Amino acid sequence: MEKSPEKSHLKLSFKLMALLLGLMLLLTGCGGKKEVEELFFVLGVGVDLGKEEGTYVITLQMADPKISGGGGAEIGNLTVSIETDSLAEVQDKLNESLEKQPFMGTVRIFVIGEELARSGLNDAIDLFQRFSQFRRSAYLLVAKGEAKEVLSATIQGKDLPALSLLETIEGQKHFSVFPVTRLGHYLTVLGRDGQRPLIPLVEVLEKGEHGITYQSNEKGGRELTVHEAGVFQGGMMKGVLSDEESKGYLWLDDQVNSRIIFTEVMDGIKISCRIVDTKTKYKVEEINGQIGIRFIIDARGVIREIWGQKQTFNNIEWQDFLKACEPYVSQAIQKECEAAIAKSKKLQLDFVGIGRKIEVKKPKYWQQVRDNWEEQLLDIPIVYEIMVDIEHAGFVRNSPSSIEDK
Amino acid sequence: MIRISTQQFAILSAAILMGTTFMIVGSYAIGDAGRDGWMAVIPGYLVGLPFSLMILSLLGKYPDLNFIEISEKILGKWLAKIIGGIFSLITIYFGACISVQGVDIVNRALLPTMPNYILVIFPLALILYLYYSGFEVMARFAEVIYPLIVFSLILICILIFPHFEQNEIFPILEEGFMPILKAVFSMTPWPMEYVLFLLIMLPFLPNSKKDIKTMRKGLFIAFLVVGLLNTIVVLVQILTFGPKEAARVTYGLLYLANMVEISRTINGLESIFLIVWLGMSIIKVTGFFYAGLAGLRTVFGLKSRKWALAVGLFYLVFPLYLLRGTDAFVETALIDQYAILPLGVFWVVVVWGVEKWKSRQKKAI
Repeated sequence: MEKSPEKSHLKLSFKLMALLLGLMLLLTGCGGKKEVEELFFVLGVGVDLGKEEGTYVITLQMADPKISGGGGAEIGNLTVSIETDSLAEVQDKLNESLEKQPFMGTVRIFVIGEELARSGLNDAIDLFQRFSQFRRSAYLLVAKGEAKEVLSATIQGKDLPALSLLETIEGQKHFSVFPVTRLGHYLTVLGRDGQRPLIPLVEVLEKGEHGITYQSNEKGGRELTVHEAGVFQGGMMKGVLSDEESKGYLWLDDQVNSRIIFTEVMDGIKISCRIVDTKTKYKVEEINGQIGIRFIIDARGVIREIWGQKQTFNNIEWQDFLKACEPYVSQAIQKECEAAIAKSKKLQLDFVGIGRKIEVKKPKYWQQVRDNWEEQLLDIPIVYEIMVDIEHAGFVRNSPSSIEDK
Repeated sequence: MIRISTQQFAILSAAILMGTTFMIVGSYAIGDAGRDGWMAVIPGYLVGLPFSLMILSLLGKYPDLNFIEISEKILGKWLAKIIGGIFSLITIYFGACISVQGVDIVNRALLPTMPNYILVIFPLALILYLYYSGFEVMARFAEVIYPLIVFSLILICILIFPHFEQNEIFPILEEGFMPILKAVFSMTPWPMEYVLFLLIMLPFLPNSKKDIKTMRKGLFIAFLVVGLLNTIVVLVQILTFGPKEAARVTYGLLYLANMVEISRTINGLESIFLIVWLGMSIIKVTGFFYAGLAGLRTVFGLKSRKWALAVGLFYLVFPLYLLRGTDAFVETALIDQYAILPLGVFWVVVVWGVEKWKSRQKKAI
């Protein structure tokens, strides 16, 4: 019987395919692959200006996993600083001296030196955005001083400062005391007309600085702290926010998850109130005949600590006392907010994003003011509506001080 | 001739319509219309729907014929052959350009030092296999790959949620409708790519009245689903990057997937899904490979299988030696705008219009 042309065609194609697929086995499919043991895992990258003009000092903090005797893994710290003309060139230089390849896919922290931040960091982060191994979700920090110094600090408890910084930043999910800026967020805000980006600062602490003394300080080691924040315009750091101003920004940008507010409430009584839940909303509306912004902060708190409570309250008096404390906590929050706005007006840099908020709510008005927005920022009316609801004061009502008094 | 089912038609249509557009849709839509870019995607796709319906309307009257053969009957032999010849050249060249784009995507996202011949030979083997196995196998391949694509896109859009930037899609229509219209126009060639493929698909489609009705419905659903998926991809890019940042990115989806991280353990989803995404590229390249060869067969009578190997050789040489990286991105856009769009619009409208006119004349007599 004669074969149908369709069938022979099919047979031939199978032969051809078998041949082609067989040839695939001869090809080394994983071109450019690296085994895990051939890699150093870069966790943090620091970028400083170099000594010569147009050069950079790049510090790479790399983890070198080793198998320890007990069967677990130890992580060795390899921190290298290299002066080069470009960031990408570091790879070339490292290949001259390292036995393993640095892998950038694990970078979680970028630290920018202060001098570079002031002269403009946008060119320096180009590689971080362009090269696929880097992740947009990595965190940005500006070093007070040199990034190299931050990443090579000897610190307590952790061998790798980059890992320590990562834990500190991710801890902000529970307590919000400084702004958190991911590379991606910085790039997004960079594209906004009505907002300037912020990057938190990291500082190497000497003994007793910032009111903290660590064990490692005693042994001659140092510590890292993240606080304050740099305000950027055109990629250049134009100003630094104090702790109070940074916290004010966090309230206004609805970035507070939890905070401790310490404030005097009445007759020498001071309280620490832990804010456990909060939401900031805003309204762009006419205030005193002019377009302005109303920030509405709704917070729920609990009293963590009372100082100087000499009287003993019964249940009813206690309820009244808690109610009486609420406006004082509101005022303390408002003070932080006002400090942030005052700094924004002083620098004429809208890091709070009032312009962006106006753009969202009143786009037509924004079109009129966008060209010289930051000059107009000085005159914009701002109103705060802060409501704090204190729910309880922990296990006890009256303070031990009230017993003393009796 | 084996005909595909109406369901296979709908899924293959969606797969060819989608192609790898989900990679670049953000750059196009947001580049032209900023934060309103998401509104342009569905209208951009729906532009192709009337043309597709025009082609389907000829199926009942001319079963077993592709559009070149139908054109021969309606416009005359020589005019149809000239247009068919141009069609073959455009589809073969365009398919080759998309295959370069596939190589480019892998190089940028995952394996910058991988020798290109590996990235070219493996997909080409699959393309040739699909071609020689017949149209139905290609449709079945689409049935396997397309749901995976939908799953991967939706998964990424969900996992990227923690990185959303508040209010980035607002204000809506700040710049009015003109930028949206511009973006719609930029995207119009994409459905027209499918329209060109549909011209060659006709002989493989069922042609009873009931089936044609079902296929019309399938076509509408395919256009809507692809438009909707790409709209979601654009929306998510705006919400994650903001409009200015999103417009700067070439392959937005790769950049999005690169950000996904699950419990500090799993990241680099782009490398996991890239294989599936390349599957879409393979379907589309096969579609154009098929269309180009069907064109050559109809116009010049080149029926030997050797011609397929010759075109296959071109698909091997082209990405390796003739076109690379960014050039492929630009070349694809140029062919889309200046060849596929005008050819699709002109050819379909003229053939459909003349056929209608002739039918009326006949009825009048």
